[in-house]
Amino acid sequence: MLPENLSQRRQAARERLDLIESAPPTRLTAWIARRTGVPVQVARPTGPPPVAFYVIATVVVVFVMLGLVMVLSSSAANAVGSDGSPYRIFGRQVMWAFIGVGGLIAGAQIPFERWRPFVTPIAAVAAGLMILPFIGGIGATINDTRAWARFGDISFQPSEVLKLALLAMTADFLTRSAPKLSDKKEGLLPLFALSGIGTGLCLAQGDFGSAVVLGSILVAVGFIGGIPVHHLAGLFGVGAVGLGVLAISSPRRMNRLTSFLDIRGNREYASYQTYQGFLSMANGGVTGSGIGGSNGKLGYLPLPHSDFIFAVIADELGFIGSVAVVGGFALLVWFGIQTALAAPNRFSMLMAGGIAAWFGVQAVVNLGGVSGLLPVTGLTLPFFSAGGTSLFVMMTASGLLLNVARRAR
Amino acid sequence: MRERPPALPPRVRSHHRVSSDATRSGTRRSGDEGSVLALRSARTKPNPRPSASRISTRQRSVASSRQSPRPRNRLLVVLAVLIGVLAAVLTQVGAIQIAAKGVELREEGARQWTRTARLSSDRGTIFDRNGEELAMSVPASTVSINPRLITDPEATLATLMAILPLNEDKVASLRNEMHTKERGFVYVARQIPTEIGAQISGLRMIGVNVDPEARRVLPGGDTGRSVIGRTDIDGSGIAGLEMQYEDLLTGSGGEVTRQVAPGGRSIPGTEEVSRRPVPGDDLVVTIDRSIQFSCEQALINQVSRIGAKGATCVVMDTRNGEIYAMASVRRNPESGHVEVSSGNFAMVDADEPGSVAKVITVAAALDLGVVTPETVFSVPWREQYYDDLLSDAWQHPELDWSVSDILVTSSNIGTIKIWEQIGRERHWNYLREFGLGEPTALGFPGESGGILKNWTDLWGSERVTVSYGQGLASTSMQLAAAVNVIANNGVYVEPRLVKSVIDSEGTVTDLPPSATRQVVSAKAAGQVRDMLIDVVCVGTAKEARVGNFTVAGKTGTGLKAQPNGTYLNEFGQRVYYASFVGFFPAEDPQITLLITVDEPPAGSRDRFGGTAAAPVFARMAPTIVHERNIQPPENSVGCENR
Repeated sequence: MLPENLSQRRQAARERLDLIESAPPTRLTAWIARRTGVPVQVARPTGPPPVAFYVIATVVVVFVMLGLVMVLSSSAANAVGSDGSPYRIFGRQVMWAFIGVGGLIAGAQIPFERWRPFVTPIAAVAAGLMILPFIGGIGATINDTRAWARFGDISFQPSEVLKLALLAMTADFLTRSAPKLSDKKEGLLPLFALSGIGTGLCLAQGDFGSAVVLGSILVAVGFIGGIPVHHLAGLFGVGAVGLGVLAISSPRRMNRLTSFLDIRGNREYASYQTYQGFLSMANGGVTGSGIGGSNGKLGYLPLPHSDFIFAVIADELGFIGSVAVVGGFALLVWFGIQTALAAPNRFSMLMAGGIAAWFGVQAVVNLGGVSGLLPVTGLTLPFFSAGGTSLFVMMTASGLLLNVARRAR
Repeated sequence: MRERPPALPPRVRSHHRVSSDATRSGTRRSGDEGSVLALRSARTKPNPRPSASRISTRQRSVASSRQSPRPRNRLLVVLAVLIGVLAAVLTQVGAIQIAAKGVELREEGARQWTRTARLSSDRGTIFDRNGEELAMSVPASTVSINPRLITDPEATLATLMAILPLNEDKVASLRNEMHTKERGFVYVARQIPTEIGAQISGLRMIGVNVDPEARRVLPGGDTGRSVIGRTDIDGSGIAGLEMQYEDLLTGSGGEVTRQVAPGGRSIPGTEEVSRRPVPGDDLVVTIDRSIQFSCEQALINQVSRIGAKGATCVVMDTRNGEIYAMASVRRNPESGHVEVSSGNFAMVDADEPGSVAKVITVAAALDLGVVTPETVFSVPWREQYYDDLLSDAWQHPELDWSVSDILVTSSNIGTIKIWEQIGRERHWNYLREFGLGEPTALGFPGESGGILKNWTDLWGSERVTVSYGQGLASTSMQLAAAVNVIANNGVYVEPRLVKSVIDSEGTVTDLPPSATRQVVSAKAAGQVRDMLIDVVCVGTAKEARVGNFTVAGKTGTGLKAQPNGTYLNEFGQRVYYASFVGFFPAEDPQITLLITVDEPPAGSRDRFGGTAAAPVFARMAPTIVHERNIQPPENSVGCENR
């Protein structure tokens, strides 16, 4: 009886397995299956998603909505005295948020297995897009950074897409060569190549901040993936030397990179923006000056709706708002890492860890610049800063994180 | 993981074994070592040992796999680093927003975007003793521009020029401001009539502002302006009572704060009156506008007629020291017209009083009892004292004159004889007691205290000439107050210009009455008064006689010391300072009046106190009698029997 019983149980388990495997596909996965020809075999979660899923989803939704409010608040005043509409920047941000919702749902729904085989061509296309800003007619330079391509009224920043594509490609290669990572040729070299290409493309555009973030997240993923620390230390050293050479090569960049050490002293010119950010943040106090109440955004603080939106948030929502924003990022990092810790497979673990690190690093680089701990790099604050490509890519990345979180155990 | 041999005993099959198996059997890509399906199916297996099921069913994730290095640790390192840096960021933000550093920054930010404008308070009115306005503020409009907001300078200028009388220099400077746009605020015209201001603001030109601003006016024209003083264009007192009582009249200005965007554009809704203005107090002065006016007119007529340089007059209440009028007129050196002066020369100029000071010497001698009015002195017409041969004003043989005779004839040598009875120090003390040598209690801006050297510092013939008013200097006000001692039964009463103050709520506060002090006995004062009646009736001041009243007074014809140290000017002429101080009715004095005429022409008969100053007294008296409703006392005898 016992073996029979056992075989019966096995049979039942197998049927159950089939049941799960043949569970009706979602409309999206079915569509993708039809288009790609790959049969639908989706691991459907059986239970309710874990806490991390809800926390990440909540934080992202709150961030995007609060970000829209703050973009409107901080950009509307720019239109005063001009013929432009106060809703111009806000309107575009809303449009991108809607597109971003699509990206988020797609990222959360489409199994990684569907697109994982194509990470290399995707990354190649993303790298190719990096040329767009250099094409006459559509390329656009903002604040010495040639990182945008303009199509009519819509601008597109390919470096944001590149970050995600290279992250996925790095995670993929780290998954495939998992056992051989201690070999320099299998681990360090590809990572060095990928991060070198990525940062090189960003630097070619003059986008120092993106290069730092891209390099950081690829190194972080490599670190998580298991590349020996002493290898990474070499990579880190190369990056640091490169950074130093870049800084020294241009006195202006050197000045920008060092002026944050004496913000008060440089407040008239080099640290003007940071100092004005300080004044705005200080104006907020504990409870803030209220939505719309910031004075800095009226023209004292440059770029209040993009790089320095946090100063406006801190002004209008006070320290309470600052805690909410910084705490929100801490929650994203915390539960992103938790998601990676509970990821069902290595690729999704690396994706989750990389995305969590990405959110954290980019927030830290932006907030560090605004709060005077780091040099100002012209990087957006994820989910908040005006900038459609950034918002869309960040929301898509959140979708990927949610995808992993849903399947985490 | 796949490399790990499945060496574990079946009973403790670990999940990753299971997953390995499932991977092998499944359709997964070779790179995938974790399989949800396999794990789930494994989980569905019933466990015969429920107590251990928690351990066995707790699935270890791929991150916790035992491969080396373990991703779990590295993920936790990433987590710790990022959370740590975020905490550092939050700490820094907290320091900026809520710590002491934040307070400083907040103040700096506020300084950057807050503008404070003064809200002027209404300046108090200066009333005369009867409630007539002497100085008041009336609403007016001030036009200014913000050159940065003006887009079409020429059109704006043309419009402004069509309405406002702007001179060429002003237009040129405005044009320059509009083009350079360096300043955000430039006055176009200040304190213009409100109708014109309304006309300009009605045009609603961007960058042209019309604001209310009060204008200070003297409703009585020039009347009393020497005493009232004036304000500058911003309404601050810069002379006279306007300056002396600036704090009272100004009240406290309010403040309005607003926040501005870069460039000075106001942020709507941020304008806030942070301090409400409190109107200034009104001042009620002792001046009587009618007496003041008649005083000024009489002085102007006299100075114009005789061709003098200027004149002053003080009309004072004998009993309480209130000043009914204090006037100064001067010949305008450019036009030659005689005008009410802006400076109050009755208090800021000090001159040698001359013979009027003999009153003090005689009163002191009588008070001390060293002489009586009948004491006789043998008086030559001139006598050597120290280095100088001093003389009377006219030549006469050596005569026996009583004290009374000496005063009535105004004999210098006779006065010296009386003075010798007093002694130098005691005489000096009396001069001080009569109020000479120090400013009066009025505290008027720029008031002179006169010159009265200490008796030990006098040198040469100065030592004796002080007895008849040379070698010391006094203001008109001091001299009037000194002679008033005789009129007021020997009591010195401090002069008084401000009666009361009315605050913004209408409460009237009277200022304390003037302090008094007994300087000479009433008897001595009465004796001098009798002599002064004779001066007017039969002596040097006959032209000061007034109708039904008995007038007492003393003339003075001083010589003004010149910058060269002598009494002769660059043309070798004496420069005179003619004065008359009198009071009436002599039997019961109520009004003390002083007239000085500055630099009457040296060669004319009008150079003396009796001819230059005394007639003015007679001319002004009727107005004062009328205004103050003064009746001649019943025992008035006038100059009969004198």
